[in-house]
Amino acid sequence: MPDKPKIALYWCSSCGGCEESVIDLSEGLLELAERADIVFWPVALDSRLKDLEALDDGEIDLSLINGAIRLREQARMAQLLRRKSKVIFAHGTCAHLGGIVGLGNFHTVQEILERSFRDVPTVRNLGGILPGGSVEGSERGPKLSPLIDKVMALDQVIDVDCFIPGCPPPPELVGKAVWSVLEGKLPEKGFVFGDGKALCHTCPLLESKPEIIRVKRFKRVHETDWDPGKCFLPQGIICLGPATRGGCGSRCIQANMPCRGCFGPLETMEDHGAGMLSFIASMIDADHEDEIRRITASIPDPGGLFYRYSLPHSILGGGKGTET
Amino acid sequence: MPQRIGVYICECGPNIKDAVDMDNLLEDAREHKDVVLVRSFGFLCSPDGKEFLKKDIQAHKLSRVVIAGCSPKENEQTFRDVLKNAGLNPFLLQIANIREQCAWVIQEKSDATEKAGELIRGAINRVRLHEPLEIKTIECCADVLVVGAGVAGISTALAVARKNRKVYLIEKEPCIGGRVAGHEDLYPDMVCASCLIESQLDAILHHNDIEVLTLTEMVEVRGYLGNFMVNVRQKARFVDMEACIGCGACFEVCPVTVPMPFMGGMAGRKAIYIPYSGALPNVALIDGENCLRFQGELCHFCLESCPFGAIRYEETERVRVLKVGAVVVATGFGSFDPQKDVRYGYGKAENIITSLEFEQLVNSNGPTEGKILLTNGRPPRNIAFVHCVGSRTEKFNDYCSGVCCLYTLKHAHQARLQLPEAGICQFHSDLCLPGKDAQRFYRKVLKEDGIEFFRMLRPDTIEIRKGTGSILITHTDTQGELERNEFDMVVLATAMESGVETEGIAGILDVKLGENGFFQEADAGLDPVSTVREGIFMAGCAQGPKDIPSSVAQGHAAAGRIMGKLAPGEPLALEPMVCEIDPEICSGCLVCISLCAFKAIALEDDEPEVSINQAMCRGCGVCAAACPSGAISAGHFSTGAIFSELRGLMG
Amino acid sequence: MHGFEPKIILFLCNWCSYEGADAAGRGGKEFPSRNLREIRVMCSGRVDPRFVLEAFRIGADGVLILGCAPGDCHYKTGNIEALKRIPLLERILQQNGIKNDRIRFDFVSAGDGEKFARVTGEMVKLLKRLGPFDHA
Repeated sequence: MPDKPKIALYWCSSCGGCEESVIDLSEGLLELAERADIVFWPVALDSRLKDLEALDDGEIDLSLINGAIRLREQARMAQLLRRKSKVIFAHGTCAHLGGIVGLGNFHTVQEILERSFRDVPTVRNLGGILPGGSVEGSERGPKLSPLIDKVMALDQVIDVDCFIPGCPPPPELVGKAVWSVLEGKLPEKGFVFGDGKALCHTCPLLESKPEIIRVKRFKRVHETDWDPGKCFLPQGIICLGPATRGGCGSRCIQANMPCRGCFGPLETMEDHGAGMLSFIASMIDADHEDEIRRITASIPDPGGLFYRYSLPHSILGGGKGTET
Repeated sequence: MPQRIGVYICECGPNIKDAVDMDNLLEDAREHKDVVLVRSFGFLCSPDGKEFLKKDIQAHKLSRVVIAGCSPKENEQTFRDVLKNAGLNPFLLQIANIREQCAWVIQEKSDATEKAGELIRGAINRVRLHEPLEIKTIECCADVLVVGAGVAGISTALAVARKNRKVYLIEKEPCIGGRVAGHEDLYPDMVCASCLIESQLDAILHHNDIEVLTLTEMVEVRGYLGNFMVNVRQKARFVDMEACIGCGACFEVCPVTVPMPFMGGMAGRKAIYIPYSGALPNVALIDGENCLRFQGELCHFCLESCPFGAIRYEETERVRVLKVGAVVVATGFGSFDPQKDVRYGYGKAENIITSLEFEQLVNSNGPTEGKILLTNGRPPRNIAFVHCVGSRTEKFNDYCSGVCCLYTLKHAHQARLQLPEAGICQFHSDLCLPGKDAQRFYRKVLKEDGIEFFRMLRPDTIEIRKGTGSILITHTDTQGELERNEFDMVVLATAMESGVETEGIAGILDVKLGENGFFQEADAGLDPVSTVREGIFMAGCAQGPKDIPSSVAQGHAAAGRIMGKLAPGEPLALEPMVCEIDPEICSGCLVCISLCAFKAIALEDDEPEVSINQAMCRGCGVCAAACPSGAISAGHFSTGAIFSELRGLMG
Repeated sequence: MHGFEPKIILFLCNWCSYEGADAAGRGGKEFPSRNLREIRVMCSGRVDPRFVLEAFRIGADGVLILGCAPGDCHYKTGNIEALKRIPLLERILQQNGIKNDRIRFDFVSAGDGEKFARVTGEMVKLLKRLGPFDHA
C-alpha cells in the first residue's frame, strides 16, 4: 500500500482557535484523516518531540504551524518542523502576521511580566516573583522557556511556503489550503489564501456604502445604535473592511460586527495600519487642525485598532518603547 | 534589464564646485549599482552644456539620467527637452537639488558634500523606477456655452464666436439684454441704455455662429474642459419665433390682464405679451399660468387675431444636449430685499421704493412712461435717496456694492431734470466714487442740481417710517445728533447680491461659491474669471458687484481665457503624470472617490471597480496615498519610487 | 546632546513649499539645511503614512511635511487631506515609542522663505534637545 502523505500540526503562542478551525472541518476531518497520516499534533494526539525528531528531513509533506513566536522554544520548534517538512503553511493570523500576541511588541518583556504577574489588580504576588527567574526549587523542575524580546510571525523565523489568514481562518479555507497540497496543486511561494481584493468587494453591505463619507465622531459599537442593514462607516463605526483582505465570507459583518482586520493587509501594503490610517483620516469631517484633533481623539487606541493583528509585520513593529 | 544610468554633476561655475568636494561626489556616485558614467560640467544649462549632455546620452546609450545641480523648479523642463532631443523619454530624468538646498546654504564643505552625496544617491535610486510616460492628447470641442444674456454674457459671446467656434447663448428670460436693457440712461454721461445695447443685441441675434436660446436653463453638466455635455431645458413659448414679428395684435385681443406688483398695481400685462416695448427678440409668449386656454377654457382669440399664424398651443418643453468645450456663467445679480430690515419701512408705507423700481419709473417704456409719480398719480414734492441699504453691514452684506452711489447720483439728476422745484436729498455715510469719471459726475450733479446731502454716522443709523401723509426719515448725523425730515417719496439703493438661482447653478456646474454667495474665483488676484472647475468661467455680476464697463471687460476676459485654452482643431494635451487604478486589486471601496477634488474617479456602470478618467486627473496622488488596498499608482511619483528615494537619502 | 546632528526627512510640495524652500535658499536665509533631506512630491496629500513610518524605521530623527496654505492648494484640498492624517500618525508614532514631536506638518507658501527657515530651524532645535532615539 503506498504511503499516505504525512501532515503535522503545531501550535506556538496560540489561543487554540486555529486548532478549533481544524476540528470545525467536521466530516472533512475524517476525510483528511483517511487521506493523510497526521504524524504530529500535540493538541489532539499523543505526539512526542522525540517522534518528530526521529523523522527524516523533509519526510512530512505538510506542516501547519499556528500561533506567534513568543518563546525561544517556539522558535526552535518552528525550525525543527521546517527541517522535517517539505511544505510549511503559516496557519492563522498569529503565524501569518503576529496576531494579537504581537500587540505585546508595544511593550518590553519586562513590562509585560511585571504587569501580568505583579501589577494586575487580581494577582496576589507578594514576593513579586516573575516567571523565568530563579526561585527555590526551580532547579529541579522544568525550565520555562524565555520570552524573546519581540514577538515574531512565523516567516520572521523560518521560511514559509504559504499563508492561511484569519483569526481563526474559516474552516473552508483551511480545508482548501490542505487539499491544495494533497492534490498536488501547491500555489506559488508566498501565496496567501483568501481573496486578492479587500473585504468591501464581497461585503453584503457594499451597496449601501455612499461615495462620500463624513464623520464628526467615531463611535464604537457599544456607544451607539446603528442600522445593521447598512455599511458601518457612514454611521461612524470604524470597519476595517476597505483595508483588509477578503475571503472570510464576511462572517463578522453578517454577525453585525465591523471587520477588525484579521485577514491582514492586501499584497501591496507593507503596513496594515498605514492602509487604514489614510482612509479613516479621509472620513474626518473637518478642515481645521483643532477640529481634526478633536475628531481623531474619538478613536481611543489607534495603535491597537490598526495593529491588532499585524504589529510584528508592521513597518515600525511596535518600536522599542524608549521615548514614550 | 539592467539600467544604464548617467550621473551629471553641474558645477554651476563656482557656486557648487567651491561648496562641495567634487572629487568625492564623483567617486561616490560611481559606486552605485547601474551607474555607467559620472561626469561634471561647468554650466549644464548653457547651450554647450545641453549639447554635451545630448551627445553623451546618445554616445553612451544611457537609459536614465540624474542631474545634480540647481533646483528642478529652474531647469527640469530644460533638461527634459534635452533628453527628448537625445531620443530618450523626457521623464527618465531625476534632478537632485544640490544648489538652493545645499551649496548655497551649507557653510561647512564636509556637511554640504555629505548632503549632496545623499541627495544624489536618492536621485539614482528614484530614477531607476521612473517610467517612460507619454503625453496623451484628446480631441476637444472649442464651442462655448454662455449662460445669461446680460451685458457680460453678450460681450463674451460676441468676442469668442467665429466660424469654427460656435456659441450657445442661453437665457432664462424670454428676452435678452439683462438689466441694462431695462435701464433708461447710464452714468456718467447719461447715454441711453437701450441705444447702447441695441446694436449688440441685434448683432447677437443675427450672428451666424451664435445660437440664442431664450426661456432656457441648464439642467446638468457632465465632462471636463474640451468635452462638456450640457443638458438644457427650453420652456415652451407657444409662439413660433420665425413667424412672429411682434406686431401686438394678439395682446390687444387677449381677455386676461395680469396685474404686476409695482407701486400698488400700477402696471399690468396680458397673458400673451412681450415683456417690454423694444424687448428683443421681438416675439410674444404665452404665460401658461394665467392664460384661459391653459386653464381649460376654449379661448383662442390670439390664434384668430394673428396675421402670421404664429400661435402654437401644442408646443412643449424641449431638452437638448449641447456639446461644448467651455462654459461661461454670466447670470448676473439679485437685489437685497429691504423687507428684511424693518427700519427701512419698505412695504409698510406707500412710496418707499427701491432704486430698481425708480429705474422703471423713469424708463420711457415703463408703467408710467417715464414720469416720476406717487401712487396717487401726482408728482412728489420731495424725494429722499438712501444709500447702503443692506450694504456694508455685517448683519446683511459685509461689502460695498460699488455702483449705488453713482447710480443714485444719476437718479437724483434725473429727478431734478423732471422736477425742477422738488426737494431732492441724499442720505449717505460715505461716498464711493471710483474710476476716471465718477468725481467729475459728482461735482456736476452737486453744482448744477442743488441736491442736499445728509451724512449719517453709519450706514445703518437711519429709520424710515410712515408719517401722516408723508414718510418720516430719522437719521443720526456725524455729531451723533438725531435729525428728522419728511418726504413724499423715498428711494432705497439696495445692495447688489448674488442672484437667488446662484446656489442652484453652482450645484449644477459643481463650482464653489465664495463667502458672499457670488461664484468663487480660482484665484481672486490672478485668475478672476475662472471658477474652481477647469473649463468653467464667469463674467459680470455673477462674480461680484460691478458696473457695466467692468462686466464687459470680464466678458472679454473670459473669452480670452477660452481662446487661449481651446483652439479649434487643436487637440488638448493631457497631464502625463496621472494616477492609475489596478482593477485586479481595486475592491470598489469608494474611498478614492471622496478624495478626488477633480471628480476624476468614478464607478463604471456595472463594474465593481472604479476607474480614473485620465483627461480629468491632475496627478496630485492624494488617492494613491489613501487607497487602503494600495491599488492606485501615481504616475512618476509611485510608492516604490518614493520609498526608493527615501532609502537612498537615509543610506 | 552635544554633537548630535538630527536628520529630517522633509516632504515638499511642488507648488508651494518647494518654492518656499528654494526662496529661502536663494535669499540666503539661515536655516539648518545640513539636517534636511528633501523629497519633492506634487502635493503634500501624496505623502503616504507608509513613507513616514519607513523614514523612522530606517533612521530619520524627524519627518517634516510642508504643504500649501489652506485655500491655496494647487489641487484644492490635498493639503487638508495631508493635515487630517497627522494626529493619527502622531498617535501611532507615540504608541511605537517615538515622541510625536518628531513629526510635524505646516503650511509654507511659495514665496515664504522666511517661514521655511523658521519652521526648519525650530524643528532641528527641538530634535537636538530630544536627542536621537533608539532606531530599529
